[in-house]
Amino acid sequence: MNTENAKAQMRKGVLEYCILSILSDSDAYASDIINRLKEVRLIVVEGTLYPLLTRQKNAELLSYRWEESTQGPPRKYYSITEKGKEFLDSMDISWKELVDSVDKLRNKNKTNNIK
Amino acid sequence: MRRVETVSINNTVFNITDDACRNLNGYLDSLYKYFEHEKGGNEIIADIEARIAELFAERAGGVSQAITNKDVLHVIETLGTPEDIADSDSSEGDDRPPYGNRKKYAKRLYRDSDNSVLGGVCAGIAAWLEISVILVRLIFVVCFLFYGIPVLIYFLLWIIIPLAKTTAQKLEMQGQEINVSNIEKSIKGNMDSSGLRSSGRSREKTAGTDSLPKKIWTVIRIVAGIILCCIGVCMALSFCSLLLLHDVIFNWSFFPLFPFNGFLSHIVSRSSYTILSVSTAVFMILTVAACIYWGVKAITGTKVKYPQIHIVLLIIYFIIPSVIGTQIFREAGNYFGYNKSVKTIPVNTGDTVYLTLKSTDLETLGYPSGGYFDDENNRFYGKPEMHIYLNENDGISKLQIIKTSRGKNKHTALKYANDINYQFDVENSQITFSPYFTIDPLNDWKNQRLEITLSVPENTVIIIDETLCYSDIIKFHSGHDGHPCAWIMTKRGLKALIAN
Repeated sequence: MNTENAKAQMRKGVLEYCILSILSDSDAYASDIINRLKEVRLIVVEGTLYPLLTRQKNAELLSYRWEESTQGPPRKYYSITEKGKEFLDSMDISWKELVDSVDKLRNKNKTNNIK
Repeated sequence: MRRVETVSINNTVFNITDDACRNLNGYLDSLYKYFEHEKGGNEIIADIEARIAELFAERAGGVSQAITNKDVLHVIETLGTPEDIADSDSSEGDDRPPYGNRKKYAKRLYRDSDNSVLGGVCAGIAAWLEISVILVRLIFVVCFLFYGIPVLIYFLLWIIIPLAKTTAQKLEMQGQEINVSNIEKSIKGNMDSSGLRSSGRSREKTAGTDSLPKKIWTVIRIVAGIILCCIGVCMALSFCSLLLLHDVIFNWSFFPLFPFNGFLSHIVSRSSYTILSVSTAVFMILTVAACIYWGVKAITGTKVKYPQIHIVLLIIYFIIPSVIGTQIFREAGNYFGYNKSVKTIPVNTGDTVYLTLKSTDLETLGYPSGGYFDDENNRFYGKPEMHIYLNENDGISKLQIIKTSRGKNKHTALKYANDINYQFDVENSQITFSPYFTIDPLNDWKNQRLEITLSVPENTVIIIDETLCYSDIIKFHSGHDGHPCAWIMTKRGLKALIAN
């Protein structure tokens, strides 16, 4: 199994969670989200984001509005919905649990290795 | 020079080079295909298009500068290929196989403008059937020979089959998977070739953008090519059948070793055989080959690779007729001179002269009077002619052998005349003649003749052997029915004694 593939698999699940996290801070349009995700190196290609946004919108986790832009045509601004917020909260909990479990496993392994 | 098109992406107007436009279309097509079955697929595409517009606007140079392939490649790298997207895509309940693993790609029949001569119909069919374009074209050309219906079919196909415009369609035409790595490959290939084009022959445009005059020229070129091919094939066929037929008719053999010789023996002398047969053969083969070669070149529209060879062949081609012409003139020159060699032999006869034919060579009597070449013995036979006259002067009998020939000049003509080989025998009152004379086969066609005159005094009786009498060697000046074999010389010429 190659590492790239494994990383991609890991990122897959996290990405939707991250999008909602970004939107919970403030409303954003697609390019903002992309830039944020790129900064933290969560996405490699931008094309990945659009199907996720559309799917989340269809699941009513987020909504969007059109806003005039100073440069070029109007932009789509995404914002998180109530349902989205609830979903994000439950995701926060599962994430913490997940991180804890992984940490515990990793630490146990480490201590085992030291012994 | 490049054509620039104007496109609107997400309500922003961009100038884009035509090849970049095709490739962008290909990329978008691949995305359409990927998101086709997804709920809200159109929206995703719209979002992506908006992002593309943004990226184009952000790029150095701004809106005013035309978008090139490089920009398109950059966009593809940034946004990712459908495979890249599929890797990070986590749509649940999606039962279709991952994009990259789809093995069967439906092949579609398109017209291929990249490899086209006219409308790209043949190239498209070739790509569809995965065979050589040349083969398809040849089949079409061969079909053109029948009633011209295929011409109609061709134009119908031209109208019906859509042109492969986008890179995606081009890949589909070749049965390749429409993914961005393939598109990228195809784009890069295009860029390489366009780079070459602009450095090498900058004025050469791709076939897809041919103007009307160029199309008309192409049609003329193809028609000319077809005609050339037909001429070449017809010439080859007729040439072969001529040789074969000639040999069948004259020599009764189907597998001639040197078919030219039999043919040439009716036209020129043996000394010119080699040079004429070789040069004629080379000339014919070159003509046929040139017709077919240029015909095929004209049909396929390919460029000549080694012009030096063509020039050498062309020079050879023009030298050969002059060689043949020179040889013909030399042949004709051999007729300029005329000479004869006369040999007079007094014959000691009494009152009666007996004329006979040599009994051993009688079969040659059946040979044609113009001369006959015996291949087996390599000998040329000619028939002598004999006249009998009255000798009024000295009262004795005289035999004269007159050999005449033509030649380049008087001197050579005399040599050829002396070379005539004739045998006869005089024994008292009996003269034995050979029914033929022979000449050196290499000296044929010099119009060699042999005349024998026998002059006898008045009242001499001439008894002619029956065979000689029935052969037409002796020319009698007075008309007689039948073939009298006994004559008497009178003051007014020969008179028949007994009529057989």
